[in-house]
Amino acid sequence: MTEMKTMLKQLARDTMFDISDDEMPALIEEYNMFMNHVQFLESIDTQDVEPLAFPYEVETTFLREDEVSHIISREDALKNAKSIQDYQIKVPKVVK
Amino acid sequence: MNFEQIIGLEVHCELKTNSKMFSASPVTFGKEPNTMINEIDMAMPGILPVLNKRAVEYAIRVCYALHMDIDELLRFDRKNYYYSDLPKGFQITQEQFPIGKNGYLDIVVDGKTKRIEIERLHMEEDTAKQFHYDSYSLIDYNRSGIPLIEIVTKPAIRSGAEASAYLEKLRQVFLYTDVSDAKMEEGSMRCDINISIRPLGSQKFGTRTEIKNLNSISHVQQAIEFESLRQEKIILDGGKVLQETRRFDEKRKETVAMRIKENVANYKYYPEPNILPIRLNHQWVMDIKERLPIMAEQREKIYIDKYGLSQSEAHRLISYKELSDFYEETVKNCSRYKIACHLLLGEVLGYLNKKNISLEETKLTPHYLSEIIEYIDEEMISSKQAKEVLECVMTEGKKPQCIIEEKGMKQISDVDILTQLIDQILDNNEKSIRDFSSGKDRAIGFLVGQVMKETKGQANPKITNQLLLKLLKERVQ
Repeated sequence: MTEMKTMLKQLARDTMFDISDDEMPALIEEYNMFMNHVQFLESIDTQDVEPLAFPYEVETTFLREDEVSHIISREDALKNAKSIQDYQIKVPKVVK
Repeated sequence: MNFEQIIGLEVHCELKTNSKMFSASPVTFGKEPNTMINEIDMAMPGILPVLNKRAVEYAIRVCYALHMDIDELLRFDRKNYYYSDLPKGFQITQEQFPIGKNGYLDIVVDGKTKRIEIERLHMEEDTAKQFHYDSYSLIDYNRSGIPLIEIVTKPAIRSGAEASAYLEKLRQVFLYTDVSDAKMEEGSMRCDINISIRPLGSQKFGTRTEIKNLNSISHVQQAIEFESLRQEKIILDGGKVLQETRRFDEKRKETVAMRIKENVANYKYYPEPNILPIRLNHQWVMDIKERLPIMAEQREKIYIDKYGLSQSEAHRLISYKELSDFYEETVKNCSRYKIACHLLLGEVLGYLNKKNISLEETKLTPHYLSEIIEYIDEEMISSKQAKEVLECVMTEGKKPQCIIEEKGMKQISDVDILTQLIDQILDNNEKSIRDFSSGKDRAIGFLVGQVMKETKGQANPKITNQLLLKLLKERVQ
């Protein structure tokens, strides 16, 4: 239990979500449900079955004309950012 | 032991479309951060990508220029990785079905032509730009979603010189197909190098390293030279080259390890579910081929065959797309093909380099250039004066005719006026006549100088020389 809690906390941190201890039991329950589902999927024999990317095997033809038609304001763009400096989103340095 | 370099290049090129690959926000460079974006570029929830038609057209143009097979059924994949420059957590790319396959580009190194085989060309989107500081990074999303094409060669390149020739040629393809400004210093053309070495004659490939994000062609060549020597030393010392990603340190001119690649990075590619396969209209694809602009090589041939330029003049001219375009416009109304070429490659290019600007930033127009050439032709101005006029036009943008009048530049070609003047000068310079008769040629130079001084440089040099010789001979006899 604590092991799973630690793992979920770590995952939450990595994906930049704040998870409180109150929310943890619900998350663990959902996680278990999800993993059960995955287990079930894993039990299905997919030998010789081609992967399916789209439910309908249709081809489309639409291409968008190259026109600028939508820009959002800088204020809106930066609204959700936790930390901003010089109109840019500030993040911890991770050099790839 | 002699080693052979095995090099493959991956080149990214930003397309100069109006809008982004999958969103209707603008493609720009150097604008205020985070002002050229929308929800799609920032990966806000609920967004859907819609492919840009012109980006596809540009990709197809380059495919044709590189003699590739074109897949008319477009399919996209997700390349998953987590990094702050990639807001969605995946990049939309074409891993499995690139739009172009099996192409080539012929390069010339040391006078020999070599065909560089190209494996693939695919479309994808650019990432956000990050600025790294000591303890944090800042993100500007303006670049996020700009259309990119990536072109990957087979491991067919064998030296830094070949790599550099290939990149020059590829850059020319981007410029002449008119799909990108291909500025390596601004990042609209970027290059990664894959390099390994092996004993000459061996068929087995050695372990390769990847050098990322080179931003000039000369750096590519330097990086290859350094890296192959580094690998050679390791092997000769009995060591093993590690499969790693390196970067090029521009100051120290060496490659530096960034990270070890233990396995091939697992990008968990899978088909992009938000874009159904798109079947291109076959006729539209054919039309793009029909309308393909004239490529550099064809222009070079025309310059030599039709305009009578030398091989090296033609080659130099096409290597500056901007000058070549300008030349094309100029010779529409001017049949002095050689003079036009000389002025562009000489005075104009010299001026641009001196001021470090582009031709577009000057006020010269093809019309003004042909006007100046006309005046030279009619011997209204000397070629020395032409240079002055040209510089004035480039800086001030006045009509050449106005400049000539303002500066009182008109060349004096009137034989009577010049004869009278030369006679006067000869009267005052008896010594020079004696010098001339005793075979001292520099007397002529001195006398021409006197004529120029008297006319403030406006005497037609050709006529002055002829007249002076004639009159001198008459006096000596």
